[in-house]
Amino acid sequence: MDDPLRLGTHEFSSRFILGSGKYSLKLIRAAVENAGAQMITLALRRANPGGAENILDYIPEGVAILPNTSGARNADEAVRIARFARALGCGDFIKIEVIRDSKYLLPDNGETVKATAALAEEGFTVMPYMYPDLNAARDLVSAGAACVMPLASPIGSNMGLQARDFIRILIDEIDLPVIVDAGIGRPSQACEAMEMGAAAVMANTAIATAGDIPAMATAFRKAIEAGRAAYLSGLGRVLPGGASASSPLTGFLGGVEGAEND
Amino acid sequence: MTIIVNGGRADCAPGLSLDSFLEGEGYDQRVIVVGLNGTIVPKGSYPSVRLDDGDALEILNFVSGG
Amino acid sequence: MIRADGQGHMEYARGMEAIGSGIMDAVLAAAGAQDFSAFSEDDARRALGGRELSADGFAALLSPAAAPLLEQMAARARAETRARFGNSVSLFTPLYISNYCENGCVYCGFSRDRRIARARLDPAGIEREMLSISASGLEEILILTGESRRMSDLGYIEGACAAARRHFRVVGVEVYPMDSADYARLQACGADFVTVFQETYDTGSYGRLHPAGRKRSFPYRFNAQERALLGGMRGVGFGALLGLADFRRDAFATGLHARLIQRKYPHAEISFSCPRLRPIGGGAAFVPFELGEAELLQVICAYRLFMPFANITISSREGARFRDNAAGIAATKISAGVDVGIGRRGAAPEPAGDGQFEIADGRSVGEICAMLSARGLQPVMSEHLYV
Repeated sequence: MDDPLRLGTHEFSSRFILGSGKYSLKLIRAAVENAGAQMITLALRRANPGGAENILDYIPEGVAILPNTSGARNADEAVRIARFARALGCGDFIKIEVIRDSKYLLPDNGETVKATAALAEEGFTVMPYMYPDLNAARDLVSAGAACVMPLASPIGSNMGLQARDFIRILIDEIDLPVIVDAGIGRPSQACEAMEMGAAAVMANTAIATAGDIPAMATAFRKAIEAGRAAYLSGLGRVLPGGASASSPLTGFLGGVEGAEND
Repeated sequence: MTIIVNGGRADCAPGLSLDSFLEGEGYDQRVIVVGLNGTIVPKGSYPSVRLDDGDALEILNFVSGG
Repeated sequence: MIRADGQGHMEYARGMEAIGSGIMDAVLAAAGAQDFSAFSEDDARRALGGRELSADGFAALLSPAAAPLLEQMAARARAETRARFGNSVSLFTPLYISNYCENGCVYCGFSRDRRIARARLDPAGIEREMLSISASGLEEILILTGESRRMSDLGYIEGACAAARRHFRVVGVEVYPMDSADYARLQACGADFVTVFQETYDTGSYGRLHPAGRKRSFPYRFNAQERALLGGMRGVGFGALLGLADFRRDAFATGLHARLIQRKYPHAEISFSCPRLRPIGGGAAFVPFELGEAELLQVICAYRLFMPFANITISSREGARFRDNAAGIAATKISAGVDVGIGRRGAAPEPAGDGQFEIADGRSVGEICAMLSARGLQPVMSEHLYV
């Protein structure tokens, strides 16, 4: 079935965005392949002279690079990092992360909206990481984002869909893809997010800290595919408990006007 | 003369090209992006950019990250 | 001028404000594509059991297949209504201040072609009527006119709104569609809610039923709510006159119209009116697409489940038994002490004007309050602040 994930002018058949942090470069290829991922995040850092391995050499051909702006504490820094990232020649995607809280690492939605507006204007395909707030999400849509990426729980925590009800609201109200990012710790949580109607799931720590990284990437791929299939099928009905055969509310229909019928 | 490279001081011959400086320091030019005094330097112009005393270079590359 | 020859009803007339909005095309495309006979009872059951109703789920609940589920729909509608509104039901009354009309709507008692007693209240008459209404305890009023921009010009309506502002806490208008700047003027005078009935979203029927007058422009009417919000109104009301065309498609389009406006203007308060076409004064024969009370209740419950937070008003065109029960299920607003004629409330020195339609529930404010209380519901006279 043709069910592409659309981000700006780009299309993907995979709905699993893989993070590359916290595990060895040697395992990236296996993780990407087992995940079926077509997009992987990278960060930008100061280079060391001489001999350092190039991470791009470990990423399979055809996988889109999603640079993030980690390290940015405000919109201006995010914009600068994004421009540097694009100058590396790996496409126009940018995942905006603006964090000015070193304890919980929660994203700053206000600065994220500003950075999104500036970078969308410069032609980036902007994927903003955010705290799941409906007003901010609407502002991101207006600012030209290609999707919104609400956190499920604090980044790196593997605590799962703590923000479930607020992500649901975004899914209901926002017409862009809602990609659940950060905090997803288990395949079952990724599956639930997809069942709810999330457009994709991004995961990193759950895989990076698993006992068998490639095997966990496989498990996530299957979970995300299952959740998407369930969402598209339309979940089956749940019979309400305590249903009654009588008609206490609609029994008045067909009665005679003026007659007491309660 | 002295320039600033990724926040640290570095010695540099006067009038050296950016291209030669990067090569001398051992950077892999295929995988880096360079900012000179806050402006991104297009890859093709590394040979023509001459470094001056007090110039600040930012040399960045991709690393793993979520 | 808009022509009356079956052309031009999908265009704006000269001078009409055209806002750029994609909502009309989206609603017409979605409504046109729905096949209400294609749904199964299980489709309706699935929609009813789901958490948030999609547009397709809404259509399923409007379909004939959902009819056997009406009791379950009513139960869920009542639960949603009570969760959002508690047990309160708002009271208001319409005040018709003029029945002059420039439109020739085939089904309407105010149509310019009908020989009825025409009247327009002067400021003293308006004041008299408002005093009489205010004395009944009501705090919310809906000011209505026929759609004549000559006999009820903007300044005249502004005057009525300003007067209403002195007597009432909440002032709504149901008058001819106007430009956003005009709505801003009414808002400045104290009105902050605008209701416009599209009548029917079936563009072919719309063209046939509205042969003349500014009302002939379907898009200008369709975009009235959006212009009202751009003019600073707090909220907007929607309604199809059920029975003019396929009521399922019209109800679907009404709900989707409201939903898309709410998405684009999340601050806007939304309300639905659910009028069924009734016989009109003057004896004109017009055979509507009939729908029964069960189908009307199905529409009302579907509106509630699709837009759980919206106000729903049940017209006094419906009988007391239906209104009382609907108030217990999904309606949150009910009119009381209704008179759809002009100047018939107080002892007016001027001749009174005939009504637009025949009402079926003429109970007073006291009687409606007593009915609500007896049903465990709380009559509320006003719940908004004009700002």
